[in-house]
Amino acid sequence: MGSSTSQYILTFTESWTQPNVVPSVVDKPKHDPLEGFESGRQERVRKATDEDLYWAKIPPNRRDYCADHLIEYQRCRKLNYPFLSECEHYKHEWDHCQNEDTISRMKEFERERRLLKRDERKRLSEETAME
Amino acid sequence: MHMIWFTILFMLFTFALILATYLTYMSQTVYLSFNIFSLWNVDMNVSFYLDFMSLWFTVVVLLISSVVMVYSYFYMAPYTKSVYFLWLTNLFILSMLIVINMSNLFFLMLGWDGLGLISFFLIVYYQNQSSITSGMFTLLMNRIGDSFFLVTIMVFFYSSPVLSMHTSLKPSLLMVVLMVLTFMTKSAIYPFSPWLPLAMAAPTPISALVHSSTLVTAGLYLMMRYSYLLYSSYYLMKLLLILSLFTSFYAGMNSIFEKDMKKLIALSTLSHLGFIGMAFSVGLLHLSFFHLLTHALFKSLLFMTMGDIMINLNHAQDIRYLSSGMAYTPMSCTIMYVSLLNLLGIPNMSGYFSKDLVLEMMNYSNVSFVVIFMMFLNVFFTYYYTYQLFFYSFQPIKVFPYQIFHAPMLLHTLCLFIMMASTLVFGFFYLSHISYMLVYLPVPMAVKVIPPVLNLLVFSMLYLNGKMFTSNSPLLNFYFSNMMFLSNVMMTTSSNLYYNMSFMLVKSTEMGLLNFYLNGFT
Repeated sequence: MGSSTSQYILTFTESWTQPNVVPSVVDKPKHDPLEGFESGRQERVRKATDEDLYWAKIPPNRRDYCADHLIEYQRCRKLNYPFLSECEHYKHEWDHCQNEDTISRMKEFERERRLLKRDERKRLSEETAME
Repeated sequence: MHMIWFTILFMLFTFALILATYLTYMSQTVYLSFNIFSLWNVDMNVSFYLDFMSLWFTVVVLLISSVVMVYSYFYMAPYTKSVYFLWLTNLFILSMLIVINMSNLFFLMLGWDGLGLISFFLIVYYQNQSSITSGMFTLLMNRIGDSFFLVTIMVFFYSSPVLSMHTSLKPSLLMVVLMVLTFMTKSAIYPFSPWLPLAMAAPTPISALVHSSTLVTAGLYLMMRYSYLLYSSYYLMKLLLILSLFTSFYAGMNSIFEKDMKKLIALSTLSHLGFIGMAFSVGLLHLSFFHLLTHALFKSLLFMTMGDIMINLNHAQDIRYLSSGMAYTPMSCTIMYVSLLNLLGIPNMSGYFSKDLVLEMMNYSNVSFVVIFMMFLNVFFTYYYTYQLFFYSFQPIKVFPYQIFHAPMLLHTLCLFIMMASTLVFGFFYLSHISYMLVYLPVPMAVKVIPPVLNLLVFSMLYLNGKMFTSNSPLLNFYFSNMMFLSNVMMTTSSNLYYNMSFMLVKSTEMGLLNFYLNGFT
């Protein structure tokens, strides 16, 4: 996440100049998800069960946290085909859920990046203090 | 005979359309397998895998083929060898359908080899010096791919003797590399690019069918089919991304200095192939497939309308004569403009839906700024050569001494209308009915306005300047008009390589070892 065109001009060089502060898109995050959350975090729950997903023939890459909306959308499409304008409401709900999911993933990425930056600042201040 | 074949192909198109719509609606696939023979653990099956991807590609190929059948009846009328032409075209369509629908690698190879061989015969149809050179080059480039394919089958057979597309084997790096090399040769990804502009020596209906929508997309289509194997190698996909981007850039740079209409459209095809390869390598499988289909439709339409204009110029292909050719075919001219609007990505055209979605979704991939910059540079080149076509069409009309006026026939124009309607309707229909599970993610306004701003920039350069911004440097013109000399390098390498190897093989084995052992004891 965090493609260059979504970042500001000053930050896109970070992957070359300060590789330690750029979160990896391949590996897991280095920091605990509950770090800084004393009262804990609300766990995300997938509302659609595996059985629902199987019988609705949802492809594997769409079996995410918004799959329940997708099942409703698909049901509406099959009932109203070919008059698909009847299903705009369900489509919008699924789209909205996907957008919220994307924004939350962007926020997680940004949190990881800021924690890495904090670690880098601590490391540099310790090195300066030792010198 | 052309009309009979048009009827057959159009009926097949209708059947495929109904089947595709039904199977997409039911989210089902059809797997037909005929066991030819089985020996121990090896089963040779002729197996057809009909899912939404293969069926919708079949629909598009059959639509273009049926329209090209009628188009070629009017275009190839002066030539007496039309039965030979029909045989070749139909064999080509059969090979393409085999490649699209077959899931067994061995029998897919039959279709794959057939594509290369028949495209050679179609390119050398006119039987002059330039067509034979182009044909031989195309054949050699395709044979390099065929040899990679054979080795791929060998490596595949070692792990999975069934040679089926549906296998749970863990792909080795060698297999994946060989597969990508095979598909790159057919789809003209750099460095296997130069054969495509040279293949414009073929008749225009063949360029519309073969070199815009079917042969060149076969490699990319098979990449998409085997994506579950190819996506296992992260660095190979990165390499494919770089090569695809460079293919687009290479085609774009050459198109600035190109004055041959057919070569210009061939370079446009090359640019779009690089774009599809780029989208695939980044992980946008369904979007790249969508762009493959829409590109096939509007590019074949562009070739056909261009052919109509060229007929009136006695087959002269210089872009500077475009306005004179268009004076007598206003309908073809209008239909050509529709195809060009698709190239420009004007909103609500098919080209807009497929191309702009890829441009937006690239923001959600982990690629660097250089990739994004190159992508928009290639988009700039696309606008540039499209506006070149617009520009030359609005030049003052001059009548040339060799100009011949051909009256367009109703059926001929009707076919072009069918294609035009498909380019207008297909994009929206595909997005709403077929690929409805695409996620539309928001992009920053700055990114969203880049394509229309670039569009306006190129248009304003043209409008304010009054003439096209091309270099007067003879050196640059010489370099880019000769496709950066890649065709010379590849031709020399491929022809010398084959010649020397075959010479050594004959000398050492047939006239050497075999001669000694069979005759040499005396």
